[in-house]
Amino acid sequence: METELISKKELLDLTGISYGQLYRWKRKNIIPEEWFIKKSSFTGQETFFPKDKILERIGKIKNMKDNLSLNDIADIVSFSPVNLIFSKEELLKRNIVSSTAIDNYISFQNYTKDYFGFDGILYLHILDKILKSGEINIDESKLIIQSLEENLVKFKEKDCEVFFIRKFGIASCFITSYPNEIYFDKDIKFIYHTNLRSCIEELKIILNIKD
Amino acid sequence: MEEKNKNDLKVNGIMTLPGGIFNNVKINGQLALTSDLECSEFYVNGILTVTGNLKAGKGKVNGKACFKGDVEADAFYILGKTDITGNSKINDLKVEGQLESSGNLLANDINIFGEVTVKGDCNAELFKSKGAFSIGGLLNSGTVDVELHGKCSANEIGGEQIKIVKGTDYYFKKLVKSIFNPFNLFDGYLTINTIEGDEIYLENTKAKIVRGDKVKIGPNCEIGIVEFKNKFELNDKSTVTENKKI
Repeated sequence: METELISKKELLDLTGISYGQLYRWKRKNIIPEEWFIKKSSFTGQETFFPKDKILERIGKIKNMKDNLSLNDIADIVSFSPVNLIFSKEELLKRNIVSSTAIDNYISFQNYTKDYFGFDGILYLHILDKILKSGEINIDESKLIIQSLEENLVKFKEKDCEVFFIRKFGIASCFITSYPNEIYFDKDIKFIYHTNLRSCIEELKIILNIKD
Repeated sequence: MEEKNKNDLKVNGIMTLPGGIFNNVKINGQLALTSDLECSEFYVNGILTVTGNLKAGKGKVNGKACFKGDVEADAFYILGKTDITGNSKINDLKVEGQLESSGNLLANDINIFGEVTVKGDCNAELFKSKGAFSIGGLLNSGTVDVELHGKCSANEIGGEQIKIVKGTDYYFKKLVKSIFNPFNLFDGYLTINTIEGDEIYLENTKAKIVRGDKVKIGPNCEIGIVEFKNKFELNDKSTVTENKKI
């Protein structure tokens, strides 16, 4: 699971943006601090980025920046939750998550309230994604959602990734901070993984469009 | 918050208090607060020590202030000395005295006429200096406009427009210089590892790497590598070991 890195110079060449733009986006927190990875090279220190993430992000910013201000983009890509509350019916009507996800979530957590805040909707969204992927059954998805709900607070503002693996048919789930490198032994079947920051972004875009 | 519920705090002697929420805070003597302070305006003529976080609208320090925690303020004007142990987020910062920050400094406008030391990173939209500064991490600012007086240093500078010029001499300095010749000992200079920006102009600068779109090197510079995209100019009085167009 080694992440491929790209140097700052290559990145600017590839995307055609200038140093000024890169620094401005960093200042606005559109490009998160932890993506700037310092490594020593023969000319002193150089900055590297996780290649897939940064290219995807810059593409996204370029698309959005004609219609939205930099601050609006920062809101969408930031980790901070949006203040909103949706009832179960609204979520279904706006087609934000599927009814299977909601029903399962309610039965996992013995959820008694009939409305959801941003965190709740985020778990629903992840659950929905997991179930739709078709690789994980309902009992196993319960494991993922519960461990997420228990441990997400500990990551605070940092980005994290959720992994789901199986070894000899026994399922297990863990959460790690991002960027990282993980190696598994060869018996482990790697079933599913998702990045939390991109989940939050997806969800914010869905919520924005459906407004 | 309602203005009515907040009281003013005025200290003329020596006091130790728990923190709290106030409207105007004025200190002529010496005050130590043992927890967070929140106020709409504060004015320090004596000594203020806050062991906790500060959240303020406007602040002015003529004497000495020490914040052992994070600072959040709209406008902060420092004529005396201020120490900040945590991170600070200030909209409009003006320093004519001395500011020392152990954490990161995040601001919209920074104006320096005195001396600023930041151990972490410094982020601003506009960074203007006619004094001295030392930044341990990255100075990231849209516009960097520096007139060098005294020793300035930073690990990295990144931004759109970066302009570093030699400070103009005032009368007394000219007099000293005319007696002790040849003395550029008192001249301000900037020591730095990397500068990256769109438009860069440098004077009196010692840098390892300069990367930019348009790079112009003025007099008295010692640069290791210059990497430029469009334009490169070099003054005769400066040395650049290597320059390449990308």
